[in-house]
Amino acid sequence: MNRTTTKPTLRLFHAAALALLLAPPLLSETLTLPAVTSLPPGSAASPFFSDVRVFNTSYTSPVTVTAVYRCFLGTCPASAPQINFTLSPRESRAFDDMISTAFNAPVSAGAVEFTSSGDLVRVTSRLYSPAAGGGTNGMFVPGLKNSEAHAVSVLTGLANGLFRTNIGVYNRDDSGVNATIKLYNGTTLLGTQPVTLGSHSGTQINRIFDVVGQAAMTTTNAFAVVAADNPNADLFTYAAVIDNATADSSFVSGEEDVAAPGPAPAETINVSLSNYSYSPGSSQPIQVTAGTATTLFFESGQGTHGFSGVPALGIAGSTNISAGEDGDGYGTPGHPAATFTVTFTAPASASGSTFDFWCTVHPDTMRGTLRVN
Amino acid sequence: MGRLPVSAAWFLLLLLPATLRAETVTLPAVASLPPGSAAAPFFSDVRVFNTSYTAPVSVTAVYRCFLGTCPGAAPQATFTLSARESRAFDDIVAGVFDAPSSAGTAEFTSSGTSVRVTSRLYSTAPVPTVGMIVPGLRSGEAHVVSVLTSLANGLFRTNIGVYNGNDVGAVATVRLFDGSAPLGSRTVTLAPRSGTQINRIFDVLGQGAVTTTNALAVVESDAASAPLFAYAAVIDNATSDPALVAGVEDERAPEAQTVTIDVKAWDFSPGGPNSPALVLTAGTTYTLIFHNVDSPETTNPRHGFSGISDLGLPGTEDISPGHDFIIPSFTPQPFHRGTHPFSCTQNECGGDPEQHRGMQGTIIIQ
Repeated sequence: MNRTTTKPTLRLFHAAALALLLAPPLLSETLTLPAVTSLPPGSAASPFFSDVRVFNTSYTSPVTVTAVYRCFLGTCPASAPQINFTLSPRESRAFDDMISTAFNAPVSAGAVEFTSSGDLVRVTSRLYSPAAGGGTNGMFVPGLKNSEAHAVSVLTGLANGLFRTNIGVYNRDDSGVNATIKLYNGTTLLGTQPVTLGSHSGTQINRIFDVVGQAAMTTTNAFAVVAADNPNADLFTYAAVIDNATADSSFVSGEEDVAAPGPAPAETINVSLSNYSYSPGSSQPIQVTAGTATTLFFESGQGTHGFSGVPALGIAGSTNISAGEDGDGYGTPGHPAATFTVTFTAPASASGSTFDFWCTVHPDTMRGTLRVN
Repeated sequence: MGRLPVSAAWFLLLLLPATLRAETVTLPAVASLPPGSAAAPFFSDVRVFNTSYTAPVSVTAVYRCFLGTCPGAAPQATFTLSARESRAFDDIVAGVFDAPSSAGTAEFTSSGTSVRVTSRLYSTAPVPTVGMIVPGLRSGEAHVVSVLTSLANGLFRTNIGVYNGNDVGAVATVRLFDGSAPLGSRTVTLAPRSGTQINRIFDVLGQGAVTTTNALAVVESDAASAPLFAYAAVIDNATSDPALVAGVEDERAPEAQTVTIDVKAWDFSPGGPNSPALVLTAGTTYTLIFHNVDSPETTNPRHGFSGISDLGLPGTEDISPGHDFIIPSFTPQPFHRGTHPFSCTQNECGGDPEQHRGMQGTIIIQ
């Protein structure tokens, strides 16, 4: 081939490469069904199945979808089964009992990821159990976008007693992550459950109240916070709240929560003792913050005194806080000065309370208060 | 006191922390229908949560009633959530808004983005309880065009709801499909901050006999500035258990090309047998109008259209003077390419059964 024929070919190649670079990239999108199952009668406490619908919103273009089953409960296949299919424009494809029929993985449960080019695909599903008298009870499980995965999420409307609650977590990332489920009723922390999740794997904690030792609790207003130990992690979280009388389940999708603030920095308060008073303490209370590690440092500027402590808060006392002055009636002349240091953390339950303390040497005349904020 | 120069005032304003914008979370379906007030009793238990660890948040909840015994003005309640508080409002429509025997939407407005709202809408009959989670939806989850999938009829029934959370009215069109076959459409006018629920949508559209678990509905607002919240409740007829399908964003249908098929004894034009076949292009959306053009002296000038099941085209028994048959939207797909015959369904059309038998046409998808 001579130069005159090579050059146009190269130009053509360059032009094609340039056109490729200039073409808008069609990013792939993944939708995740965080809870899918195929548990026929006899394989679990109740049979459960997932019917899935996958829809192409385009009026003009077909779209190819890759569906991957990420099994993590039951009899899981050795490797993640996957299928590819093409949806015509406006086609809604039905996959009844998808785990069994499409992925050939009966008696198992997990998540399914649907990946396609662009953002044309919509996924919905119903996870249901056949009812004893005919018909079904179930819940709608939506296909979730990646933006609906969070490092910290909150699940509200959880219940126990007449209901039971299962909590699920799915890690869509390519690396593993540890997470913590904290269950609350009102502001009371009921318990904590750590979970370790591999990449593209998940778990479901059935009867979360039982698991954290709160089976006897009756509530319909509990909530759970699911927090990953990595702030960049992407976890899909959900709860299935199940009516014990009917076995009807409702699906609560995790919503973004804020990370809990870290522990407050420790605080040191210097307390000066002189003229039969504590400063602060006598004229105004010593102010401490619940939940914050606090150190009280007592130092006498005059004479020898004491500190009764605050037993209700577990704060120890001392009978010798001395300026080390001669002639104060204590010890021998030149007895050493003595300070007193005590560290404690006031509990949240003490917030808003004020506690009395006093000098062990002058209990009637030298008194003070400590307030927990 | 000296006056602050205008430019300095603007500068100070710029230095101020960004104003916390109000956010509204919408529960599109809430109800309080005690036994006897509706076909089945239904109630909504609502939970409102403040994600902040440090700041309380004030919430204004407004009930937008549009079904049942509605109050004269929209009831509202204001409450403050402490940091990390989850407030329970059981049977919120009766308990908070004092509007029993009604249904509608509840809007929760607060400063910032710290509020989360969830609810369970449940029935106590035939057995207590069966229900569905109705999530609090942000404004971005209202769409000009939404699609609702996983709809069902036969062993199930489907109700479709639409809520207009805008301060302007909107006209919503609900189009129901089974596969690519259009089953019918319904247009509803929605006042500002109002909605509607179409119960048993298959029955309403004359498709009560259809049995399916893979239908879908497209809900479209007539105004790009008026996105709508759309949902479906798919209810198991045996257990009354409902599942809520929240509308997700859909594409707007391409503008339809209108094709008028003149129908007379004994010909479709275009279509056949005397006129050329009707040729349509895959991927193009059409509105097909079958229009009767029989002369006034024609005997029995009533014709029909058999429909074409392979294309999802419905049929009719009545194409007569003054009575057009319209298929509002038909988009043939590439896999439809080929020749598809159809015929008239009226044996006596034009007063001649023999001629009627030859009244057959063809649609070619290219």
